[in-house]
Amino acid sequence: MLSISHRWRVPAWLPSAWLPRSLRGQFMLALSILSALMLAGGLAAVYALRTSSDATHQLTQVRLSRMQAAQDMVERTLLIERETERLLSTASLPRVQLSYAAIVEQTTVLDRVIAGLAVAHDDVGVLDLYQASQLFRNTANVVAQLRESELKTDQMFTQLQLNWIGNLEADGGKDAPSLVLLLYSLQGADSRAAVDKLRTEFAHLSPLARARLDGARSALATPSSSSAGVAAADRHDPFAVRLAQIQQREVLARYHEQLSSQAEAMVAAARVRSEFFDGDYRAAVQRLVEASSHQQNWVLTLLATSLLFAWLVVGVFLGRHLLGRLQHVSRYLQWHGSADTPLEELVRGRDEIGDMARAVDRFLSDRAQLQSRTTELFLTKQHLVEQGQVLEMIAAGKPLADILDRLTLSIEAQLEGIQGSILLLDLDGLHLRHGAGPSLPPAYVRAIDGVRIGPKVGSCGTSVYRREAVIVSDVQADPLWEDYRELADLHGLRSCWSAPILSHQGTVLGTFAMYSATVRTPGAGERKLIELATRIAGIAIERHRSEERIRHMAYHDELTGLPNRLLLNDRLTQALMQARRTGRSMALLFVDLDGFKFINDSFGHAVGDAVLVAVAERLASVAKEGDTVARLGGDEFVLMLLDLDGGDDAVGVAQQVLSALALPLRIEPRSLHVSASIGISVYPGDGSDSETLLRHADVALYRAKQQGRNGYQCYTESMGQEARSDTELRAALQHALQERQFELYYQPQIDLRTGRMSAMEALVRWRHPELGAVSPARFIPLAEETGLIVPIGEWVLRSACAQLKAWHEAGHPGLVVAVNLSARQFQGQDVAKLVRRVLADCALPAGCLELELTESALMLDTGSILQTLIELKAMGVGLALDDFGTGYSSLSHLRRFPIDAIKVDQSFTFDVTISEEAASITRAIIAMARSLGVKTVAEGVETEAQLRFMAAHRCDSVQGYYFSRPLPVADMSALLSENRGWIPPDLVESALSADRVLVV
Amino acid sequence: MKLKLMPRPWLAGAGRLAVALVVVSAWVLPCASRAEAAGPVSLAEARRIVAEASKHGAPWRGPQSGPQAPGGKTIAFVAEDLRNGGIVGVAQGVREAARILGWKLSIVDAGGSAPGRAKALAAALASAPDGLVLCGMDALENAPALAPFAERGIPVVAWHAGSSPGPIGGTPVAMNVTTDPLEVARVTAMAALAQSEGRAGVVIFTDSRFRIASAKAYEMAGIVRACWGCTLLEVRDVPLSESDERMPAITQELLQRYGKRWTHALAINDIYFDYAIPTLTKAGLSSEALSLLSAGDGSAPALLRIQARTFQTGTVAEPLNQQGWQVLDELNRLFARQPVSGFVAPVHLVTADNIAFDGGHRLQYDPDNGYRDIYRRFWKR
Repeated sequence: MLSISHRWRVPAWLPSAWLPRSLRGQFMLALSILSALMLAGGLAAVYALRTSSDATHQLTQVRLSRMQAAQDMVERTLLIERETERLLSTASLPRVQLSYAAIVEQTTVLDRVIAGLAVAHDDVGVLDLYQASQLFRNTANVVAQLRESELKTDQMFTQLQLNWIGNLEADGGKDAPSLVLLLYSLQGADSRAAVDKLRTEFAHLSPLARARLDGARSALATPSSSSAGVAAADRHDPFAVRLAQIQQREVLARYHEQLSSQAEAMVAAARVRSEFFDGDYRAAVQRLVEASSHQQNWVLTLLATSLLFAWLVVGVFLGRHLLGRLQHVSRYLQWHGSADTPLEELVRGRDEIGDMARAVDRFLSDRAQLQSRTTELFLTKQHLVEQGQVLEMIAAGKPLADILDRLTLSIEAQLEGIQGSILLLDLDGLHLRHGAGPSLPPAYVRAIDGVRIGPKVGSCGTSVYRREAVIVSDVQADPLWEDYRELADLHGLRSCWSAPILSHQGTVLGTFAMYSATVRTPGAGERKLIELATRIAGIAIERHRSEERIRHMAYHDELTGLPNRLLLNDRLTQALMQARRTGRSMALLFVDLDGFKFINDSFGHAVGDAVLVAVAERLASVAKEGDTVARLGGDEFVLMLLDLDGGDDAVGVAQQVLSALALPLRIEPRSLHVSASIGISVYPGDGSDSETLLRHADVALYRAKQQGRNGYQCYTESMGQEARSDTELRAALQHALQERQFELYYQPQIDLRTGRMSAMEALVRWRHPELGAVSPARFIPLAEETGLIVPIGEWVLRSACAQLKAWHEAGHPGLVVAVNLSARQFQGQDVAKLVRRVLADCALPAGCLELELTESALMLDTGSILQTLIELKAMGVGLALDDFGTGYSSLSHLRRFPIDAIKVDQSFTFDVTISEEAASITRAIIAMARSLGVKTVAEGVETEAQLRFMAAHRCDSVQGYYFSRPLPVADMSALLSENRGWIPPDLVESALSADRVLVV
Repeated sequence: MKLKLMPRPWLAGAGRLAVALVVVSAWVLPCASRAEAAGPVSLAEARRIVAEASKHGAPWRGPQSGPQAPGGKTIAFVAEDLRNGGIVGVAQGVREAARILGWKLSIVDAGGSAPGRAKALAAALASAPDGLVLCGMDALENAPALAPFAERGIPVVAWHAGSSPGPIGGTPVAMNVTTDPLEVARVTAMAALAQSEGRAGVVIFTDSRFRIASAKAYEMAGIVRACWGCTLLEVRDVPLSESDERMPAITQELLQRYGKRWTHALAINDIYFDYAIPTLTKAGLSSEALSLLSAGDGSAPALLRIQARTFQTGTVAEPLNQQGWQVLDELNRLFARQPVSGFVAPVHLVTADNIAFDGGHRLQYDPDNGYRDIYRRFWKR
């Protein structure tokens, strides 16, 4: 999955659950919202316009009505005032009442106007209006009432004046005209003083007048408490009435004045109201404008929101959400892999584009996977090719250095800025040697070649030490590199990752390392490559080492490390070529250890091997540079001596060899003496080719062996002829039995107690028509070698038994015949069965047959041979151990096997009279056998001294040339017929006395 | 018998009172009133009471201390009807005090109608004032509309909103500023008795929608009845708000019905007389023929009439301006979360004889007791 963030993402405030999944749904939603917003905008606009219009209308109406009301109020006030004027100016009471009615009506209307002006207004100024109107109305009432009262008083005064004038004229007194005149003038009196003056004059003019006044005096004396009317008591006194009239007028004037001022106040209040309304109107208009502006803002906001949303829909939804995402998908498809356009966000989308993005993502993911796999396969193929080529080189046995170089270069080719290195662990397991480093600075390679491994030796030394990979990202900072920092720095190496190269058994073979010039840590791929490289390097190194070993093994003897026969042949061939070229001599010395079989049998093969290794070292020490010491197998060694002057040089070396071997070998925990026999052949005298030289050396060795041990023999022509016949003999032997070329000879065995022949040993002789008599020592090994020993042995057994039977029948009963059995005869046939059949065929008692075996035969397979021997023993057949003393001479053999007799080897018999050592051994053998109840037969008795020794030491029987050489049947028959004594009588006696002594 | 029972089910108490008034006005059954129970009222006693109530220059008996007044308060003033001079007088006092205090005052006129009241109270509530002044509007009748003020913690002080001074139970009104209405009624009735020498022929005007009005009318009727020589001609229930329309006809009717027997008109408010006067004048009645006495509020027109000696001879005037100051003082105490002063002004009868004193020349009863200075002193304004 790609992990880059996308520019457009669903806003956090928009719950994704609200969004329809499909694009169609999202379109519909967006269009619905847009429509709703536009509708809302339109409605808001209409509403705002209507509201504004209504408010303006209402405001205008209210304003107009209030202005009208204020105007009305002023007009009403003025009307009331005018009516009041009218009321005050008329003298007619009905007229006054009419005016008053008008005033009341106007005040009622005024009240309503004021109520209309004041309603629903929190302006405290309205209080003044109310108060003024109430006062104005009531003052108008008061004025009207006062005016009415005044008019009534006027009427009363006029009436009274006329009455009094009439009465005075009727009385006709002399003062009457004056009084009348005075009464008339009363009408003009405007002040209380004037009235009082006229009244005083009136009273002084006539008594009648005074009397008239007295009636009203009380009223004058007590002025009315009411200012609004005339007291009842005064209603007949024109002066009092006139006074009341004046008073009323004063009061009226005051209230009229008050009314006027109140009217002014009303008008003023009306103006104040009007101004207030004006201000209020302005404020209302202002508010309206503000409200309208606010609404306009709202409308604009809605429209702007609609536009914004439309823009969002078009720009964001269509542009980014759709086109952007589509473009994104397209770009992603186009630039897939450049990793700057993620699909992560889009893939999460639940709509169609989300589906598409997922499909694209899946497709690209599959493609990427495919690409990755293809690349991987390609790389794998490359690796395989490289690996194959390297492996091919390994298989082709190319030099290891070339292989490792190639491997390192192939790894370097796959990485940037990497220099590979391979170090090989030395055979000592402690030092690292240069393996490969084709790109590393040669000086550096030289510097680290031979570095000793350790816990703090850079990456490689530590890696081998720890047997694990050591990754050092920064050489300059890692303590492992503390001692090598300067070296690395000098060659611009900054990081080093090293891994041990392991064999398939897990042993460390070396290291593979990757150097780079920067601080660097390996990635998975690099680690994989390191692993691969170490594996292949391991194979190469192991292969190389195996080849080395095989090559070494092919040409060397594993035990001693000396060249083997193959290498010897090579070298011999080359040496001969060189010798031929130079005209110089060269020689081959065949060295064979004497009695090595004895060492092997006596001390075991480990000791034998140790002896061989020690001998090899001594031989090598004798050889000079250029000579070759080879081991052909067993205890046979060859020294190839080059650049000789002649055969004498070779003899000198042979003597050195014998001297070198004469020193005892220290094979812990014992010290052993060995000797060797050496056969020498010299080029060009003894042969001009390797085969001949080798054969002749072998022949000479044979001769040396025959000549006794610890000596050397140079090849001679005669030796060659003997040796040549072996092959011919082997071929002739094949036919010898059929052609009855074998013949049995018998050698007597003399019983030392009786001095008579008690038994005879049957010995096979081969007389070839052309070769003549062939020694058993020559043909028996060949017969054994070829397996012919089995039929030959059977023929010998059968012939001997038949002959013995004949001799028994010829008057020599009790004779025993001894027949040799080869170890080979025990292999592949049932000897016991054969013997039983032969005895039965010959009708010979089993006790008359003695079988002679060598110790080596017993060692072949003790289990089965033991069983056979027990069987033979059970039949009554005698068993004798031949050549005792030359092999293991194991006492345990005597104990384990049902042996009746041992035959002391002739080499002991030969030495008893000349070697105290041999005499001691022989004595010991005889004593030991006797103590075991086993008879002893001494072979090879050739002298009387030997006979006497054997007799003296109570050997049971003797056999040898002293008595008779082996004889053919005819001679033996003749000898038997003689029936003579074989030993001197004193010997017989001494033997008998010895027996006696023993018995006593 | 023209007493009109207002068919308003929302006024059960008023209904009961109206029934009582019917009985009183019917002259048929002796009614047990407080005055009656007290026995017949003697003329001397009436004169004494009237003389006492008519004294001028009484010293300040109101609060001498109170919380300092903060500025910037907004007060809503809901007036029952600004055509009522008493209400206008109180409003002027409130206006004057508010200017001193630096408080913003807004006046809403209910116009004397039920829808007007609801609208006015709603408007006042909407203006979210710091305090409400309920002027001349019955608090109990409008308790539901007042409840939101209590809920919003807006203190309410009233003027003539209940039948007695002090808080009005069941309403948010913490203080109803008024003189003792019954005392007012008593003094008014006594003045009629004293003027007529115990031979008054009395018509009483009242508005049964107002508890305080009914209580006053009841008290006055009781006293008139307790006067042996007096005649209670009629108790006429006229809605105050309709007085402009109805009083001219009613006055005409009464004049025709009772003629000279009608010597005294007693009213629970001066406003009735504002609209009765034109009819009386048109009827050619002299001021001496009929004496108008009002048991409140002592409006400027009333004082004008008294001053001009046109029919009205007296009014038991409320010290409207002073009460306007008191109303704001009580609100100030409530703002400071202190108890109201509970001050009740003494009853004062304004006549032509004493009108020259205590602000009469300005056509208002405004006691010369220095209350402005006292309030300003402890308001620290």
